[in-house]
Amino acid sequence: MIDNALRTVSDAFGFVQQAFFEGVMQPLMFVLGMGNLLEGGFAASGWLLVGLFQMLVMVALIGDLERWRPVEKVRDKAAVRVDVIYTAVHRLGLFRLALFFGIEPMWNLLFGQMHSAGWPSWQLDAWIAPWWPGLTDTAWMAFVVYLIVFDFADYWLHRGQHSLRWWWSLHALHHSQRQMTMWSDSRNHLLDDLLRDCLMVLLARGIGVVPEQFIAVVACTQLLESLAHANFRAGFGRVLERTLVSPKFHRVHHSIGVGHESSGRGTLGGCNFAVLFPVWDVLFRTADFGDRFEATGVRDQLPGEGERDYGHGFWQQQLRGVKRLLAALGLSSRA
Amino acid sequence: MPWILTGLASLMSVLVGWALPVLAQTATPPVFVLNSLEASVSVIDAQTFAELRRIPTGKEANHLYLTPDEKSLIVANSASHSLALIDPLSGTLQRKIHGVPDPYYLRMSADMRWLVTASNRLDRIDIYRWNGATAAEPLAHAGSIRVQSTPSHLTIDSKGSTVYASLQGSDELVAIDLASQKLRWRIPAGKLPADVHLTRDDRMLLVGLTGDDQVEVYDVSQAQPTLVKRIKTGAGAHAFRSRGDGRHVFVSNRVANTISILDLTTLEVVDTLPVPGGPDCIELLADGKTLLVTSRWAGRLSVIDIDKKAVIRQIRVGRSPHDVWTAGHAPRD
Repeated sequence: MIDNALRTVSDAFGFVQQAFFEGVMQPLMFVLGMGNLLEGGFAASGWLLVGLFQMLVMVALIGDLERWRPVEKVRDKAAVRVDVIYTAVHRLGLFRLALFFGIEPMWNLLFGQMHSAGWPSWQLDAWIAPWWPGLTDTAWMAFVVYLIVFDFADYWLHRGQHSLRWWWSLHALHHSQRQMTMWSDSRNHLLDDLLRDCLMVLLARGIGVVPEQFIAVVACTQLLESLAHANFRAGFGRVLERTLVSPKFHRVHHSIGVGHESSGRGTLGGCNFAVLFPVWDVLFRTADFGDRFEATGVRDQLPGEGERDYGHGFWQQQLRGVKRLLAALGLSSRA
Repeated sequence: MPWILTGLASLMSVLVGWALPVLAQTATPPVFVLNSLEASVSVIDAQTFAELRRIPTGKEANHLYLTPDEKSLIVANSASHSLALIDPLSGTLQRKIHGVPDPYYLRMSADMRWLVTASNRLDRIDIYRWNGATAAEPLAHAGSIRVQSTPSHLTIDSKGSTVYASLQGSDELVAIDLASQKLRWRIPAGKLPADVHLTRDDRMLLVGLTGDDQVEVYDVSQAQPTLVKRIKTGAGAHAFRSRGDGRHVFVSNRVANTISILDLTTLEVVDTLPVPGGPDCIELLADGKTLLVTSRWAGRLSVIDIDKKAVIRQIRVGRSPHDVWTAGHAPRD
């Protein structure tokens, strides 16, 4: 039944994707002499449509929730508009496009050389097969398996962002939004995104999953992440709160001095690192299910704590992120 | 003795009931469609056109080739860096061969000495000695030819001496001597050369220009190839399939959503068939009038009646269906 439902959704999506690709993208690519990239273009059309769908859901659904029960009144709309730019860059595929042309050939070369040198191909499906044959042949089971594996990896990457000072210097941009909304999820330094993406690609290639296979995983993950960042005063109740990351749970992660410090003022660390499933925080003792909605941001933004300016526009925020990184690496005295 | 007659009749009906489906199964070999974005091969009943099952083969199963002894259908899984061998009649997975770097396209020489793969992400063509499907090590790497950019499709001449390859990234064609694994020649071609098709006399090489709306025809019978003609077919000219009459060849035009029929004696387009959804690889059934075409963007296998010039059926398969093949096909020459 679940497979049938997924098939119906997949059919409907496929119909729209085909119409969009054949009507818009393919003629454009052909005229631009990109006929050798048609398969990649077709995949990109899928990501673009998923992004558009996500933004539609955000505006129509999560936006309504934000208006219904806001945690705080939005005072600086310009700051939120910058987050909308981040969201568009990521969800509509601009960032992915840059990776496709900039990084993808490098991965192909690296993994190809590894196989040529006799490194074995490792497939998650093949690894699971002896214990549960055919598990990942079922679309929704494959979806669940990949979701769990990637979320587990995401948890540890997130802890890495909060544990290494140089990495935190980039990731702090994500935390510097004082008015967290559903648009804040994609507010990241491009180098932070690049690093994270590289590590996830390594994992995906390592377990033999191609990106097109987890388009649904990425789509669902990103929508839940947008909800988790929403300016929405809500938890999921005692049981569901421990099953899926809620706006309340994640707001604790963004709370000044709570979500980014473990051992007092100026230290690194924090709590509630999970992206989808809080079970990782429970297992590794980093969960805080406190019933509170505190101010978000980074301590060094506060009066008397340095009042650091993380920048106002997209490029200013990126530039300041690079400066903080150089300072964290000891390559510059100015952060 | 009516009970004996009744018993015999019952026995006959049971036997017929058992035998008919088996006969039906063996009489019409299944159709195989490679779902390049789903790591599987769809097995389709060639009579009812119902999808029977999917065989998990490997990631990015793009192209396949039948071993000349017709015992194994080799599926190349580029992202899994593996080959999957399938029984061409029953669809049973025979074995997998791992550690074959990025096999996007493949061809085997008629004498079964050589297996050649195009590794389009690694910009090289790999040549292997074939030791047999049941050997402990079926492949022995004989050599690799570095090429300019993105080797795409291959074909091997009937003598098993030369492999021709298109290079999509650098708009070139190359010919490689199999015995020495050395480049025989390298020439510039039109925009985005894709499939390469050799006529049965090994003289003419047809090249589909996916970045254009033409097929290039080269005379490759001499030491250096010469361009004979450019034939306008349709935008995104891509893959070939011989009609099996020694005279006509089908060409898929991916962007134009058509199939052109070329006459090799006049080098002219003699007919055009509409096929929706980005037509890619082509197979012709033994009846000589039914075409099977993978519609990449639609995730369907399109069944075309050549006489009616119409799509008579579309079968849902996996995502981005690429190569298609059946043992119940028309002759290839």
